[in-house]
Amino acid sequence: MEEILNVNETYLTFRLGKEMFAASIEKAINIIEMVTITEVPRSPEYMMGIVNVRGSVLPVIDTRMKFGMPPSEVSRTSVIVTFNIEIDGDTTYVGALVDEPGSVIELTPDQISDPPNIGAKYKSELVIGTFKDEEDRFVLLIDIDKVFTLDELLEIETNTNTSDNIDN
Amino acid sequence: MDEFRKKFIEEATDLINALESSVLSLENNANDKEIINEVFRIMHSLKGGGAMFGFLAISEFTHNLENIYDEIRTNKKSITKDLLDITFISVDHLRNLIKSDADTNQAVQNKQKELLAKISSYVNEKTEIVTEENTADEQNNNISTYYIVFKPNKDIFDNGTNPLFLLDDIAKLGNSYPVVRAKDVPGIGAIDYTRCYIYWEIFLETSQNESEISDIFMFVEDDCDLSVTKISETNTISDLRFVELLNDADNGVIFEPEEINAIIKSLKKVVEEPQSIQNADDKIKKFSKESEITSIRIATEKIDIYMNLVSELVTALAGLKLSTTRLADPDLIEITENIENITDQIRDNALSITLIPIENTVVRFRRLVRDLSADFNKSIDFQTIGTDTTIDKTLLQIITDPLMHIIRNSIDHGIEYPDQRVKNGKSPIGNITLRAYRSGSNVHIEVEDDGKGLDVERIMSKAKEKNFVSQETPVSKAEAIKVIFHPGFSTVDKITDISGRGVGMDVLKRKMFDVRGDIYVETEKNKGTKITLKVPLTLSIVDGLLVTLRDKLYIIPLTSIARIKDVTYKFLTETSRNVAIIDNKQVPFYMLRDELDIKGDYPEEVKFIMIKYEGKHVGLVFDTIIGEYQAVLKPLGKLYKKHEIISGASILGNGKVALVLDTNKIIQKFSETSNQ
Repeated sequence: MEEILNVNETYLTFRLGKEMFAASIEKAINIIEMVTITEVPRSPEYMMGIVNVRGSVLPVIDTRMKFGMPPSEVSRTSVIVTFNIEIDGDTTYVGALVDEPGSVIELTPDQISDPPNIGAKYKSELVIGTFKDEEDRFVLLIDIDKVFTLDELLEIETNTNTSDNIDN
Repeated sequence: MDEFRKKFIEEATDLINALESSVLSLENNANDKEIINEVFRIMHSLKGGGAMFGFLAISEFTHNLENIYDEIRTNKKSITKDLLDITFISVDHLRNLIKSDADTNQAVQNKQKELLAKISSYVNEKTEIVTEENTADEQNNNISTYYIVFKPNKDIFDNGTNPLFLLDDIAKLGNSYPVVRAKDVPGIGAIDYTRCYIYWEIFLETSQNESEISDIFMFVEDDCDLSVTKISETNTISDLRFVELLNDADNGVIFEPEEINAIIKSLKKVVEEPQSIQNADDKIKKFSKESEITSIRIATEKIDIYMNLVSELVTALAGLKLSTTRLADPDLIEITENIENITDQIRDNALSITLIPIENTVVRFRRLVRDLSADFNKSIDFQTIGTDTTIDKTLLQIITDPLMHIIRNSIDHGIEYPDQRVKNGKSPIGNITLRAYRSGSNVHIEVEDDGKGLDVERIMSKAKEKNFVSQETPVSKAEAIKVIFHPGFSTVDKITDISGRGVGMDVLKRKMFDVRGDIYVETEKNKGTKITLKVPLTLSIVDGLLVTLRDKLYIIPLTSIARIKDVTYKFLTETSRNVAIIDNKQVPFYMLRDELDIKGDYPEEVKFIMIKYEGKHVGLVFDTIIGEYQAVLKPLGKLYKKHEIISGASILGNGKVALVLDTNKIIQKFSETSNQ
């Protein structure tokens, strides 16, 4: 434990499939409604393409695929969350397609538990911790910078067993 | 504080560059008081800034150097070659002083001591003063007044020309005073609104010459009567009495030449008298010229934001135009036209902000030629033409190294030693000319020397030796020259530290292709070599062709398109191994729907677009062509940085996104995969 700050931090939660995730609100720029995505040929499958956001080009990522889940099916609740991430010291914007935006939650450090142990493939540095949201759902708090700077697909599927383990 | 030091380093770098450039021009005009003052001023700024931000070495150093120039300024000393040499070395030294390790670097410290000693010995030296009356001092801003009669033909509107835009362009050249002639306008019932009935007489004071004015009318030459006459060598229109006299003489018809002459003459008489007042005026003007802030420093980030906003504006305008056409409201149409006009100007202006003159790097080349020609014992006259041509900042950075390389090559291999030159019947002084000019949406930069030229025979034998060309078949001169762009090619057996390391022309060529540019070589034995770099004006705007594959939009840069042919899908499917016979020539082609994984079949009629690729043509097959399109190129961002075949995206007026294809990379990629 390098530092424990007794300051409340704010997080944005979102749903992918049946799982809930959260990222620091400072990383989220805005949430945009679903628009037509222009595919970029010959790019990885999880890179859905680009969209026009008020005259600028924003790459959109199928977050579900990036997290090792089946590809997203665009529904009425789907939105694109724009995150600012750092790649090689530069700030860049990425649109993450999520199934449904959640809420903005303020947490004290002691409300966040240590990351669960989710098997060999899981990279511990991607998950900062876990917590329960207001509907008592289990939420994985992820490090957005690291998630989107890695090229390969990730395996952070969780199951109820693991959530029981930390809920001690 | 670090923030301030950073700022100072930025500023100091500019100042040092300006100093170098001034000292270079001082070399040719040793007695030009303006330049000496400039040198003094720059040193003074460096000294002040250095002291304020803790760069004490800089302030100490410039203080001493400044002393010399103060004495020159006050005619106590004169400029000598020795002094200029010291100053040049000092410029290099100053560059080292602003580096972060200057305080600890022993070599820099020693240099400081050595140079200070030289400078102080120079100050103490007694030199004879050679002064000339400064004649070049007279302020000469070359403003003349022109009288332009622009009489458009009645049918000028037919080809879409708006004469008012031409008047706008004239007004941009300087101070203009247009007089409208509307006496030919018929009665209200007889007006045909597709005809132009009016014409203009324009008085223009400008520093541009006649051809610049005529250039504005370049595209309407055949559609109008035009005359441009210089009526005086001064800024006549600024004289209020001129306009007054003009109005008095105006009787609704075109001015007679005599009338204008008479007005000019009567003005002159009055002007010549109050000489002393004029002089005082000049002095004030000069003073204010010095203190005037003519440029400001802006963070490139801010410019990027500005450029983004401008392209958003352009996109928004396209939407507005669509709605305006649909609503057909006369008031709205007028407002939209007005906004369109302003937007065009903002766009041009925004573009011009990101462009900087080539002169910015040419200073470095002057210095390079000066130093290298001394190293090689060759005397070289380096001339530059058109260095005020502007180009995108990023592109300028990209072409600087290639140009440096070309100039080095010219000095090392091109220009002969003086005795050799005399033997060949040339002047002992070699010439290298750097010429820059704009042509359409490209900038051409030529480096021409009058040296010995490329040895085509030697190139060929080397090429055969290395098996770059076949041994038997004879090769034309043009083909032989192409060999020098082959990777690993060099004719030089002995490698100097300047050039000849074999990484050269092939790297240049690739660099040029990467920025959608090109490189050409012309050479003549004993006459010299000319190397031309062609680069687009900016990387952010592409003149392209908008094409479709199913419902997807793509843009192909026009520069890469050789020809377009309508063919049937059946014709292509019946070819063997994807090679079509077009006009008796074999053209390999790629079905882009397959290559880009776009589902569905092609329509019956398809577009066969022939792309220039390595001197050959390669076909790319698309569904349809929508038309030409000037695309504002947006990068796809870091996440797509590994993506080579798409060079960016462009947002169309209706908000849709089109991808810009990098045709070179596409063909390269596809041919690799099909060969595997």
